[in-house]
Amino acid sequence: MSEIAPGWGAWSANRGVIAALVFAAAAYGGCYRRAHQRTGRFYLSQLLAFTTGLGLLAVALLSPLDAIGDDWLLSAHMLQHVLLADIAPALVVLGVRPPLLAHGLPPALLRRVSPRARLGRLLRSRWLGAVALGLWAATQWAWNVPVVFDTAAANPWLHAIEHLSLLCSGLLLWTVVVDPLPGQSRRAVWPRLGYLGASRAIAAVVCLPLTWLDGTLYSRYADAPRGYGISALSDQHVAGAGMCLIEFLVFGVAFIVVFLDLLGREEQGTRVKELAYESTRDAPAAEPVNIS
Amino acid sequence: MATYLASVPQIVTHRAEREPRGWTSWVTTTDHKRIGILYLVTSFVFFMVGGAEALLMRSQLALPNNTLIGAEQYNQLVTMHGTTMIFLFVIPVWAGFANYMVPLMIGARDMAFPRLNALSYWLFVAGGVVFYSSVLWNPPDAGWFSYTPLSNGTYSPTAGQDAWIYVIHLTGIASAIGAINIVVTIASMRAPGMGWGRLPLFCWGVLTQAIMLIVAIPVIAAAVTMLLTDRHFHTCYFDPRCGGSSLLWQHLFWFFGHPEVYIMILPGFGVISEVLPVFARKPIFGYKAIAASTVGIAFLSVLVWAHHMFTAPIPLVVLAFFMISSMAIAVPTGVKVINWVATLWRGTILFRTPLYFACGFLVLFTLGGLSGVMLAIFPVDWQLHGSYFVVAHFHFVLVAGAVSAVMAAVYYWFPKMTGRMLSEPLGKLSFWLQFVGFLVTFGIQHSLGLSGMPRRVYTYNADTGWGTDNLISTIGAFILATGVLLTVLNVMRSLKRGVPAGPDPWKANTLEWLCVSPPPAHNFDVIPRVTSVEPLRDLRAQVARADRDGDVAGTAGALPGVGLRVARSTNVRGGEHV
Repeated sequence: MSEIAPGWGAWSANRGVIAALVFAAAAYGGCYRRAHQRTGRFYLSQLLAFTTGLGLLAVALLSPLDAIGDDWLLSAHMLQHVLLADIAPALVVLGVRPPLLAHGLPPALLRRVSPRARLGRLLRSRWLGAVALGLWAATQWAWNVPVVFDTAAANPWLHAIEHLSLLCSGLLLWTVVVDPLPGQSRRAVWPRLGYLGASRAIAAVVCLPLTWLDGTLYSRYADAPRGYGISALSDQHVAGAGMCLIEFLVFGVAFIVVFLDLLGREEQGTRVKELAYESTRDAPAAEPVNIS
Repeated sequence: MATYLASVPQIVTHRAEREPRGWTSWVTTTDHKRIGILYLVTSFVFFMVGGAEALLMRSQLALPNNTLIGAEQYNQLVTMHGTTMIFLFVIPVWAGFANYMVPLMIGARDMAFPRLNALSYWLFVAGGVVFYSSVLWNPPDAGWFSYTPLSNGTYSPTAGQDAWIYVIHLTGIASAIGAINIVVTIASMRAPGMGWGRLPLFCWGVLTQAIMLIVAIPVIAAAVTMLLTDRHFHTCYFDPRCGGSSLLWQHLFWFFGHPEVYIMILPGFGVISEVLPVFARKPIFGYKAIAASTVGIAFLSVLVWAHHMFTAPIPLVVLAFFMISSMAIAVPTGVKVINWVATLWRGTILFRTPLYFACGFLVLFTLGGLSGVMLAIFPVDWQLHGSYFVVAHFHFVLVAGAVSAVMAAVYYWFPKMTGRMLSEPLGKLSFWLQFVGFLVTFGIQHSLGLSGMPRRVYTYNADTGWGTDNLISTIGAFILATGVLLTVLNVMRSLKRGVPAGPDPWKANTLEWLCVSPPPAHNFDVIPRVTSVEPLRDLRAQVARADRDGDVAGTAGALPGVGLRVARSTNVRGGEHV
């Protein structure tokens, strides 16, 4: 470890990460191009969300945040985890929300995620939410146990696995919440709100103790050189309060969006029922029963 | 050839139940409307008592070195006033309106659990009786939030403090039961066609409040139980001498206490959202935004409790967290205020008393919100904490917020509850007295706080220079009280001599105005089908169209499920008072 605290110029050029980001961008570009060619529409909000999500992944894994978080500040490391597990996955999934995938996926892939295909059934399974939540809880809690956290931070391979698992659990959770798959039979809103709320309660188990505890939990950072003029305990408080603030605000915004979606869908569903009712009401009355 | 019609089942009544009369019918009632009225009357009695306590305190503070009330009695009055207004007035008064109006607004015949509803009311009464019986020996004097160690057995050894604990327990159970009842009723008993996107905004407010109660009440229930065991069974939850933490009480209390502020306000927001479109003669602006901001406020309100503890030993970054989250509440609240103003914008305004109170609410609550944002900045709070500035702020939020909305609700729904109109001149005079009295009482308290006057002091020296401001504040309090008394007189007078209201005197939009005033025990002869967020407006429009075209069948079918008799009745055409 360098004795000089990393500054703004400490960007890394991790080839694996760069390749993965370029591949994701290319795949999304293809999907977006197909959707645009088929419909003639620009999906700007989706495009903005996806590119911001990829950008945040790059910030989390390539920027000085990574180097500072590895050896110097717990708060930087926790911010990196929040970006990887929560913010970037949310934006990436929002980037493929309907109707983009329906128009943009190659036909072969579209068939595979259709409600009748095996993968489509799996992705629409009612158990997927519980699985996503379980995975989210496992990654959030297990990786933040102090011994595990310190060990992972010291071991590059374990650290990479940690980051990958956080990203995957976040992508799965937000897939359940945003429900981006094409098709009419979308998930009900109340369970989605429930999963969202439960995921924040799970995250609060990590961030609240960090915010309030009077002693340091992670020896790696308690013993680290104080390169940024912040004590280990204050660093831990910043880490906890920052995580709580970001995750709760994300929840608040997502909750409102899903809630508005609920009201819109309710209204749409009720109107459909009313149209059906009107058509039956306007139909000629049934003839009296003739039993002669 | 013979033609037969399918047989129709007949119900034969062998004996008609006699309708119960007299006071026993009230004591044993499970009718949501009667329980609602019981709640309203009881909570207004407590409002009068709490108001009298406030006037006593203001009289003591009117002059420097005043000796009207001693220090101990002053502390007791502070405690009784705060506890009464919060636990025995504002929360139950909303329970009263919710009980009466929610089933009517959603097209239900009663609450989901009528007997639980009655239990909830009687537990509230029991809480009030237990609390006020303490005046016979030693009333509590540790403040409405009963901070430890002041409230523990050493410093508050009398049973008055136990009475405070029991009132929290009993009213807490009452609120929790009532909240569950409200949630189940709204979730499962809405009229056909009333999806979540067509739920009246008052019901959104009450529903959100109920969910918040279910979240917050267990926390305070646990806290007061711990305090009780500390006082009587020598546990050490809050006593630092044996390993406890007095700060823990503050965290637990305010984790309940701040959502409590919104528990008191959200139904008021709902009332304002109902009143404004009716008297602006146009649909509410941004229905979805208002509903979403209601749930947004509820969510944020559980993240801000420590802004009441900015002067406690808490890490700086945590203070910053609570500062940001507290300020964030201004966003959904601002969304609401803007939508309300937009509802009035270019409306055909009818200046009636409910609208006066609703507009008064808009002005005063916004001012209270602004001082709230100031106090959310923790360095500012460090200077103003425990001063009269804070007293002024929370009275702007709670009196201007909750009480103005309660007054708007009283003037708006009184005709439905009694079949009689309240006097408009008396109502408007009452509004102006309350509005001016409120501003005089609490506006000047900002100045007192900035001049350094601490809250909860029973007297002060003349050389502090606070005498004039305090005298003005006391005069304002008496003007405010006169305004409230005028409304009480108006209600009592109008019960007998009010102009008959008819079913829908305001030409309102929601379902409660479809039935006669006061509504029959079963509420609706036929449960109507709802086609928008303003079902009665739709019905009126369709009946008018059918009348114009001379289409009797169209009139009858204006709202599917509502028969010719109902559709043609005056309640649909309505409007003799508007």
